Amino acid sequence: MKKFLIKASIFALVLWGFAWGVDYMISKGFQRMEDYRSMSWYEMQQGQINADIVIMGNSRGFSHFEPWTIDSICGTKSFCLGLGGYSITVEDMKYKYYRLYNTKPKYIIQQIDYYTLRNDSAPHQHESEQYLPIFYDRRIHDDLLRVGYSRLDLYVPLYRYWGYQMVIKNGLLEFLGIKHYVRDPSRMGHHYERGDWDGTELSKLDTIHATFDPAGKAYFEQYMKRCADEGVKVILVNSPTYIGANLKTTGLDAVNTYFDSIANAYNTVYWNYNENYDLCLDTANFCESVHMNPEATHQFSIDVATRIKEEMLH
Amino acid sequence: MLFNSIEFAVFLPLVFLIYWAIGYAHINDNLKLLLQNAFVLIASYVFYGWWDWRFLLLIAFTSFCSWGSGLLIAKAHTSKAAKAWTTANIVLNLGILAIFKYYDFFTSEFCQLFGISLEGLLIKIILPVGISFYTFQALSYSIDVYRKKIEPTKDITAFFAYIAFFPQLVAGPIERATNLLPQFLNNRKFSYDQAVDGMRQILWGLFKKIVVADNCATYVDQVWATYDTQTGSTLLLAAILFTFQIYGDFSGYSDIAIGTAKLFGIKLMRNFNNPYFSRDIAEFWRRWHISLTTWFRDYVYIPLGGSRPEVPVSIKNQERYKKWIIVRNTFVIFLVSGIWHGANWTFLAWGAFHALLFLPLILLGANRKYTNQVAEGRILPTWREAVQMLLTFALVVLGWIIFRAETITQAWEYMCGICQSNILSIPNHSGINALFINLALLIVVEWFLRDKQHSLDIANLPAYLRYAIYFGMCFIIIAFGGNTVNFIYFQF
Repeated sequence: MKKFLIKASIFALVLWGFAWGVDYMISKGFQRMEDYRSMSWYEMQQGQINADIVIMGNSRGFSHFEPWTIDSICGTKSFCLGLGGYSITVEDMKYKYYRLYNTKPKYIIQQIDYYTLRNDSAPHQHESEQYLPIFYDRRIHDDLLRVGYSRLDLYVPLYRYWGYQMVIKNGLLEFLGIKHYVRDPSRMGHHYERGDWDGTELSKLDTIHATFDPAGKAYFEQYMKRCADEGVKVILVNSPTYIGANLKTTGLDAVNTYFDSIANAYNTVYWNYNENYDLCLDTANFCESVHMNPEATHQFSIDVATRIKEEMLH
Repeated sequence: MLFNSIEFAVFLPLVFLIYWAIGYAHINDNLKLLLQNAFVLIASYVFYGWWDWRFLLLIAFTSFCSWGSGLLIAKAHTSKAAKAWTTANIVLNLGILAIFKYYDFFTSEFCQLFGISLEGLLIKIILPVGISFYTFQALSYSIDVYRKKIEPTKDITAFFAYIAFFPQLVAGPIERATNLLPQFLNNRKFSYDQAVDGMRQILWGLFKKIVVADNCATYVDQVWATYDTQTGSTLLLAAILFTFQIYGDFSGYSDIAIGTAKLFGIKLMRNFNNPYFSRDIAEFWRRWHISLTTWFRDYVYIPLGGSRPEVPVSIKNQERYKKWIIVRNTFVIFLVSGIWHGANWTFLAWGAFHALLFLPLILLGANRKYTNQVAEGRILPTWREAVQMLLTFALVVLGWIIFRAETITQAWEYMCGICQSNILSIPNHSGINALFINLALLIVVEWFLRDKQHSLDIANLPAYLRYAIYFGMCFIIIAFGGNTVNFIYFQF
């Protein structure tokens, strides 16, 4: 019995060390990959961004606003912090991470829609591999736990990579210098959505109801208050959605009323680009109902930047 | 609690340590036995209750009735009374099983057939995990007591532990009282070799479940969800991968169960013996889910007359009558085996399909032609053996399509889908290249170690090689593990 326990303990210890080593190799390799999901985390860690404007939001946040277009019109330095996901909880986690390494921005362009106010029990599950680069940073652990990760993910080596076969493979190959992985790299945190769309799929959908969760609202208001206390102006922007999708969605009036009230409460603006805005009217501007294609994105970025310059920077 | 969960990774070492701490305590043997059995029982109930504690009452009730019936059978003064107690226990246990597993299905089918409204007729209870397994285990005890194959036990703790022993409680192997119960009635001694072998078997079981079955499941589920738009070759590939999924899932579970039991000094029966290396369907059924197949053989097939039925002297054509009885018995056990898997016509059709495949072997008296390992003493099979294995495998794949489908119509459409002209096209294989390598590893290892009790039975290798294999396996499990999927056989 004694022999078995000693051998089993040694085996478990060696296995732990082995797992830790492999975890280290994957993580280091992962940092070298040019992958739009992970690149912006590493750029933030360099502490060189220090942007005047940061763009926040879900996938619409990171695909609908071209930082370079905004910079060329406004004469600012901007960076996109949008990430694939739904709600303010995970978006704010990325902003907090940004602030750990970079100075506070003057403005935040906050992409909002009714998804922003959701309060999923595990919002991290959407494209969850995008969070892997920050697991080593203990300062973000509380936030990672809050968005649904477990302590096992944070403290057990290799556990965090469970099920991500491509990340493991590419991370190891990258670490060993066998292969350099490039996948649609992001530019200033921005990443385009691409593809053609004719709206056929939308016609098959039933009515969608825009709901918002009280806990999601409470979190959003906390976030707005924190930004106001820090002296960061948050510009609320609801970027274009195809009009057909909006017509199928009930409850949008309540959502817009809520964001209007928030804008008033925090002495800021709410720009809703879903009413009387040309880009919303044509399926040709979209790759699906909520994501614009690069051409429409460029036009939208010009419009938003011009408005910021005219209405906010004076 | 799942074997492939973190909870179990904490639970198992804890239970192991406490169990053997009792085993090594300086107390008398009887007290030690009682405490160890009581601890196994508590641990097993925690293991099961982790899923849903309410159904613990059902296990306890089943255990108590079967334990009580054993005593009553032994005390009965006449064989008629003994038979009555045995029958009562069978009816009670099968009654519970029928209510939980089959009532809603057959009621809705009946009502649909006769156009009767279902309102208020269905009970809509969730199926208690493992009910088919522990019910059969409980039945085997009372039947064996009645047949005087085993003495009834008065030790209620040992009996409850026998029914609820956590490694095999929810998905087998379905143990016989004659094998498992005596192990709970005698003191267990820790064996280093047995425990290490158990760990190896657990490791191999985890590989089969996490690497093979879970990765196959992702592909198979995607293809089945859109089977009407897939090419014939993709459908065929998904059917083959489901064949490996169900094997990896179920035999993986059995390996973990048997390996875990070894850590506690308990020997469970073998449940799989390289079934996909079978040369005909009869051999396949001697190697697949052995504990269930032999259960049906001993408690259904043989009581029905088996393959040596008694023929009344009044029958003129004795041989023909005998054949008919054997065919009937074969169909009965395959149909019962099919419906045991679940309340759906597809399971019944799957059973009937296998009975039909078995039929020619029965009629030709060739059903026990292959009782040894294929290519015994040789590295590779002969061409004839290879073709036989491939043909048997193909038939088994066909059977699994019926098994996996939700309706018989869906199974038929899936098979028709395979037979399209694009069967010769390259199937969709994106994202599963690593799976092919791991499948190759599974097949090669199982082939070369086919005469062993399990495929990681490598005690005779030098230590450095063994440890390299252990760490290699651990790495493969972590690196290539699929997303956790529930064990398929939990639903049965």
